[in-house]
Amino acid sequence: MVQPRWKSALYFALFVLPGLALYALFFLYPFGQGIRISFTDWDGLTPRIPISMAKADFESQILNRLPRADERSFLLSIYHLDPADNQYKRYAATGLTRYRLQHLLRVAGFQPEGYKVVGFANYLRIFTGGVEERFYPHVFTQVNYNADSDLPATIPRGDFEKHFLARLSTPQDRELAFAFYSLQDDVYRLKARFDEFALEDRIWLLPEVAVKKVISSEKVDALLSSVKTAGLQKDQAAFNVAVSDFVASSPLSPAEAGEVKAATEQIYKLGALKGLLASTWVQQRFEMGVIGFTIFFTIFNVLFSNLIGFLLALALDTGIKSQKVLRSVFFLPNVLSMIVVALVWSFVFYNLLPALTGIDKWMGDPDKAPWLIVMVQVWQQAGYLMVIYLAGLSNIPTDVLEAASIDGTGFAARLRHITLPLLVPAFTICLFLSLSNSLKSFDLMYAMVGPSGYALGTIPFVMDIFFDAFAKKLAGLATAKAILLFIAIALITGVQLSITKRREVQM
Amino acid sequence: MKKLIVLVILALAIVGSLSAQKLEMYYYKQEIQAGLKTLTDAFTADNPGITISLLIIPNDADATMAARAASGSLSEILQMQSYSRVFEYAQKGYLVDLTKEPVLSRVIPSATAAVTWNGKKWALPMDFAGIGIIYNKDIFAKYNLKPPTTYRELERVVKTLKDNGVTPFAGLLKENWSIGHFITLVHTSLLAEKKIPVTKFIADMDAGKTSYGVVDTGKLFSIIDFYRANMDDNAEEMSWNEQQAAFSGGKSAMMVQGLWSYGAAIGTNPSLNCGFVPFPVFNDAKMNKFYADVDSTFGLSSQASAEKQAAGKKFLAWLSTPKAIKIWTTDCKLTSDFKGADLSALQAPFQQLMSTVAKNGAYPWAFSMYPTAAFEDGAKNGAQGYVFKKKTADDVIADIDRIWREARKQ
Repeated sequence: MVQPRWKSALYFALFVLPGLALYALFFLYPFGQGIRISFTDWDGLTPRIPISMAKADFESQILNRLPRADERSFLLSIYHLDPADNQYKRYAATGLTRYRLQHLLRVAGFQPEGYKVVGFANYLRIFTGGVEERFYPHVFTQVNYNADSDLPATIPRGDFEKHFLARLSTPQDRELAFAFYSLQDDVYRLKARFDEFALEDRIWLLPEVAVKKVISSEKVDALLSSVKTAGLQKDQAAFNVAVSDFVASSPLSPAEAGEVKAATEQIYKLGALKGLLASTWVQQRFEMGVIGFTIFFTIFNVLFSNLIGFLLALALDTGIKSQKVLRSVFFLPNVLSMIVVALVWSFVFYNLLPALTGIDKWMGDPDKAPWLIVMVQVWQQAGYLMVIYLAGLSNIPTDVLEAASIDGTGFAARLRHITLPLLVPAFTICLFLSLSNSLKSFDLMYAMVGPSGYALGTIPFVMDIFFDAFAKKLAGLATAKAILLFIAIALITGVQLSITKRREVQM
Repeated sequence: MKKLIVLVILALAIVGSLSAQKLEMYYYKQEIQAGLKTLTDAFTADNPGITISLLIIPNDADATMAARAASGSLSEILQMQSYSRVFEYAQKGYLVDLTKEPVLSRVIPSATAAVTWNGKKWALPMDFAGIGIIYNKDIFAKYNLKPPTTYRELERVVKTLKDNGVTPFAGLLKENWSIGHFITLVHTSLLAEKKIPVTKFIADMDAGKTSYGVVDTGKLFSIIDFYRANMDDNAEEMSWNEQQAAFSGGKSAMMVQGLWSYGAAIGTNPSLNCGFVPFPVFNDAKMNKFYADVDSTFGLSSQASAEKQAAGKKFLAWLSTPKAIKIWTTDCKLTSDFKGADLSALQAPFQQLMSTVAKNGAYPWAFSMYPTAAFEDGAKNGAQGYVFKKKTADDVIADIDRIWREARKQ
């Protein structure tokens, strides 16, 4: 039926125009604002229209630069001079007043400190490696022991042998290591006579220190500190001076002086191993960084949630008995809010899994955490994709499948030549949804690890943007990152749509 | 006649409601939700023309407040953390200058530094909070332990606890704020060892004249290592809730926390018997002080109309009345920054904090004076990265220096 022209114009005005207006208001305008902010060094707090300004600055930088009298009088109707501190001030400006003020500031060429246009500086910074190292994939050195601390009482066998012993180049060093540590019950234990606390106690518990208090604790502190420093520097002379000074200036019996010398001698000896352990027990490790983790998460989430969603749909499409119940069961995780999901799984990882498996660390282990997060996301999302695949499967005409089956084709052949080609539209939408969701995921990581994700290496792109904008006060840089993310999502999903659309079969 | 009376009453009611000032208070301390309601209701009872509605933003309070500031929709009354938070908003012009308000003269003089920027006072200091060791008195008594006053005593306490199978410190490494507090606590104490006043250190950092590593960093990181080594093995899995559960359940004997955690622990286990002592960084007991300072403050938005600002000032003035202080200390269970405030209603650990600080002084909350990014990223992520072995001690110091420089645009 051909509609009269006035009718289609009316429908356009009634339904499409308001939609377009809302689209412009709620998408195009904020998006444009975002692009504008990404070209500034805004700190997220500086008002674009100053709230208060010293009189002289206000007059020279804004007021006197406005060419027209009506503009100046408008400005002065908003700002009032507070004689108490000689500043121009304004109250909240809303609506059109705000826009007129912004326009006037542009006319005057005024840009507040903390909200200046910086051109492509933010983008350049991102592309030239100028933001935090943790943003990019990188290699870092894991130092397992700090020479200023006590020697670890135990070191796991694997760590000790692989990351320490194997790297010692001289027999003397190996001898030194075995002088202090011995293998017991599959861990390397510091021998009891080198227990630093006990060694130090031989001085702390001297009656002159602990009971009579004729030797001050500061003095003992200073002695131990000098002995430890000398030990790390292997400076025998400094050690001798420190100990003999202490003994000479303290009211100690000859036996006690001997005890001090013996104990400090042992503490001094620890220094050699401490230095060796601190410099040798290090590992080069790879860290995905924000970009790497986002890509990792996207790849595995898209892969697994689609695979599992598809397999579940296939299984349920076979007409098994409890199909309806199972469909609801698998879909149920999707009804839960991500925050609830995160809480539930945090409980599982903290309480349940350690009790069941005896393994202590789950989310706190940087090697496991990224995989666990992918797992939870897949758990939550697969049911949703399953429903889309089920709808796709139910659209495949049964007569085609039956005809193929009568012709003697097996399940695999039917799946490959009939089901999969006809299911491409479902793949198109499922891939699109899972891709874009993964790239902009935020809530799950926010609730499960929060900003601690920087230590675990589980910060997705959007959370990094959030942290930059609000904790680091780099709103301009954060917005530039957001614009880049938008472009990346548009490109990736665009390519995916064009590829899968081409493969769709028309019945 | 009846109609006329009704009309007059209606007219009066309308005029009344028009002249009434409705203020909104923005606050982040979720633990005082009920107490604040009591407080604002009592204020309205005394000042019938002014009502105050409450807006709570417990998590990421600053993110929300910054967004509201930028969009010109700040609440009239703003609860802010002391120092940096106040200074940043004051600098951008969002706060009303309260220097000449009489209520500020009723505040303990030492508390006003936390709200003074550029020679003017921008908020009203409200409570004093301290971070230290909250310990379980019953466990200590069981093993015949005394609360440690020196680092060596702490080491000894830890040794005894470990020998008896008790975890010394309840772990909290899944979130980074607590270990962030800890590194700054130790760092601030170590500044005293070098005889560097905190304000001078902050000013020098702001000017790029010093480094975070100006203190004995060997000691700084060895104390962090000691702290980590004596937490639960799976402390990386433990957030604040798990820490509270471990401490209040008696699994661990101590936690390094602010007294806000005491409320939570006692809430889970009312029979818990707690003491509160400074974390001893030194072997010289005199040098060990609480890490304590003004915590929350109230400021007024300069974006509010002149009438609302006047109403807000009335509220701030009213807060110093004995009635308001009583509600603040009994219902909100917080300490007070007003001179001569009656603190008898406070629970024992709070009393312990106040009396110890009165006697020995305290180390100020330097982290509140750091630029926001230097604390949020440099200190919190830095310390957590260190215990997760993602960063070395040198990395942490270098990162804090760099982030600080960037924040101050040097």
